Amino acid sequence: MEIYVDLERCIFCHACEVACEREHGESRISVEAVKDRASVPISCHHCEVAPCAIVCPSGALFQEGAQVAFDAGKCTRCGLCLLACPFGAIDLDLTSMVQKCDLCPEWDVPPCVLTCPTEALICGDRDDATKEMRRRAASRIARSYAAAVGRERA
Amino acid sequence: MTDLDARPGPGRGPGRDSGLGPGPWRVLLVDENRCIGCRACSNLWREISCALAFSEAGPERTIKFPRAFEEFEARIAESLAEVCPTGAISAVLSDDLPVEESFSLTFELVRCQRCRTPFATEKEMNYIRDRLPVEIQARSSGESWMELCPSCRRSVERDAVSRELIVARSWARR
Repeated sequence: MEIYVDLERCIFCHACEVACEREHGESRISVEAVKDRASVPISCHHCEVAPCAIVCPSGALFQEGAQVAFDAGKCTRCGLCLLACPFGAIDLDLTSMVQKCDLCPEWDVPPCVLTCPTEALICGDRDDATKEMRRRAASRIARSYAAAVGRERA
Repeated sequence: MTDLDARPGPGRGPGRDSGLGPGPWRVLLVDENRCIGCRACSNLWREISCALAFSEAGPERTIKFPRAFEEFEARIAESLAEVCPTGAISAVLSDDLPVEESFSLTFELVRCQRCRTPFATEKEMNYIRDRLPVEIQARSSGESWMELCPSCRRSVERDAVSRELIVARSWARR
């Protein structure tokens, strides 16, 4: 389980960040533009072998099924998890608690995914996400084919 | 750590039957070789961590520890010992107040290979390196993510996943 991104669709609107911030007080997903050509949201990947959970000395971060869960009550805020995350997806400033996507267990679909106006965010396991991406790619091809055929007829 | 562990009684509390005598002072000891300079002790919760001072100046991080705690502060000393990931902190009972009020440990910080910002102590990165499988530490091309600060890791990840899209979109505009 994680939040996958269809980069073709991300329009750099930051709606996911706002939704996340409203839910948690601080945003656990961050969107930034790359070379003015693309924008990429980054949040916890919920790694299968999660470096943050491996180094966490207090057991606050742990692997739970297909996700990396966080128990704030055990956290000592030592900061080792953010140094161990290969993607820089964990935040911790001196005044707050560790900020990491928990996939919003109290929601069926996380608010960031619900909010995304272009449906660029997909929540599910890898099979769900690839299936959806394949469907989208196929419909893109079909659309451009239909447009080409339309031009020929005109 | 050992002193606290060996002590009888519930919750490892500072019992007077510890055999160490009813020393009024809890003297804090930090093993310099074990301490990795992380934030666990200085960033715990305010009631405890206000006793410590964490500071970073340029490529150095300094953590200042108080040398002794009074009896009513025993819980603070215990918490510090409990929270340390490497077991570097311990507290012993003493009848005499130590001369020095505080002591500091200073750590050299490693710089991000991309933006040159100091971001972690060498010992913190070694602690992580020792625990992670080798294949996680490597990256197929370029510098290992371990050499980068968290914010540069994010940019590297962004560049990597959007490379193809950027090429495709650059073509469309020509």
